[in-house]
Amino acid sequence: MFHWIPIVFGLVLMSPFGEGLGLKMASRWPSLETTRGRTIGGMMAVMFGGFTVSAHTLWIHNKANEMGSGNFCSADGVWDCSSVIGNSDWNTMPFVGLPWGMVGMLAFALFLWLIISVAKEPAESWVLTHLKIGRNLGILGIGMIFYLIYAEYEIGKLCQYCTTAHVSHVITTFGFFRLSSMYESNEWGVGTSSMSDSAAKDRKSKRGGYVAPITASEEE
Amino acid sequence: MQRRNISNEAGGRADGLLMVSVLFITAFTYIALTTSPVYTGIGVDDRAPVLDGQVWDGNSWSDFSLYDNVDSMWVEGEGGTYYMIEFMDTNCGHCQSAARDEIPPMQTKWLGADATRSMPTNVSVEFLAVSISLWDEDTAGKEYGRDQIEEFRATHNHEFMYMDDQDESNKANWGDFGTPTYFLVAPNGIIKYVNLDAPGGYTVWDAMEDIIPRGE
Repeated sequence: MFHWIPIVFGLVLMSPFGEGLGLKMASRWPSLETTRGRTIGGMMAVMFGGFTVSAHTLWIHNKANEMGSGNFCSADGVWDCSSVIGNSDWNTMPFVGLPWGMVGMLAFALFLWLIISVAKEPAESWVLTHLKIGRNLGILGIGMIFYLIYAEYEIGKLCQYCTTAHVSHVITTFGFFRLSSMYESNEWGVGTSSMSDSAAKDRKSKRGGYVAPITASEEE
Repeated sequence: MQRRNISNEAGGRADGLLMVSVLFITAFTYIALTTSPVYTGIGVDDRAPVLDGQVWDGNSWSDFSLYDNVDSMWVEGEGGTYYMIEFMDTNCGHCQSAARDEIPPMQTKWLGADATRSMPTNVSVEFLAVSISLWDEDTAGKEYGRDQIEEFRATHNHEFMYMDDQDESNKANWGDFGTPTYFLVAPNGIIKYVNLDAPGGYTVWDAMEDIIPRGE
């Protein structure tokens, strides 16, 4: 349940219903006034939820290995994460052997890095590259989700934690697509790779470069 | 001298990397400190893989699961049941000689309330023979089936359970090895001995003497 709080919050913030919520929080985070800011903020919340649920899944995986068997998470009918995460035939990534929880942690950490970087410097030249990487990894991840859904079908049980991570991943992928479409449009709100934002230009110009020496006569 | 300005675009990405690294390391540290995963395998100190099947106790066939009889919270010094598991084939010569010569005195020594080996009152030992099939059913002179298992057990006056794994349903978890192969599994499901890893001459019976505690 804990994991759904940031995911639902992020989803609301990304949606048209999130405008009022964003404006309320704009005094603390001014970027939430814009659609881009709300989308990025919402995605961060969703990714954080995805990261925590992946970490929880890895914890359950390790606990199952530690204890041998048993119920480590609530089971109710078809929802039984012990049967899925504790299933040695399906609980690791094929060929690589990493537990799926670890794969999820790595994926969401990478997504978070991509989006935090974009949030901090939305006008930089590499923003589009970050959005493309996020988009393509999102599509790759959806392929993995289909594989895991097939695994759940084979096992005959559904894992609630895995499903939460899947939902988080799908929302994240949708967010990257949305940001990509915003990037070249007016919705982005700041200069793109052409660096039209004067503040950013000004900041850059002050960061370094050649400073001509001042002669004594000029000083006087 | 004019210096190259190469780090203008690194700020946001470096900050992001730092934040994500802190988050990742925190989560990973928590998991590392609160769990202690044990590898599941067939080596010493591994957790024994799942072992499920139908067993013959001399009267009837019934379902058996090793993990229904394991206490994962068991720690050394507590009472519990040790399992000596023998993977065997009713057609294997070494298994037949072991069943005839080695096992009868050992079951007198270790099994039941009248076991001759002293043990604490809350410690017990069970033997479990897992009957697998090394050959095809069509191989000349090799016969398989539950009748063979029942007959094998009765012929050698064994008093312990025989599991029918001739369809090799546990092979995927336990692997492919010859027979007889012996495992000693502690009450928490951890393998304490397997003859595949043991030095020459050190048998499962020696390991049981060394590992299973003695009574007063």
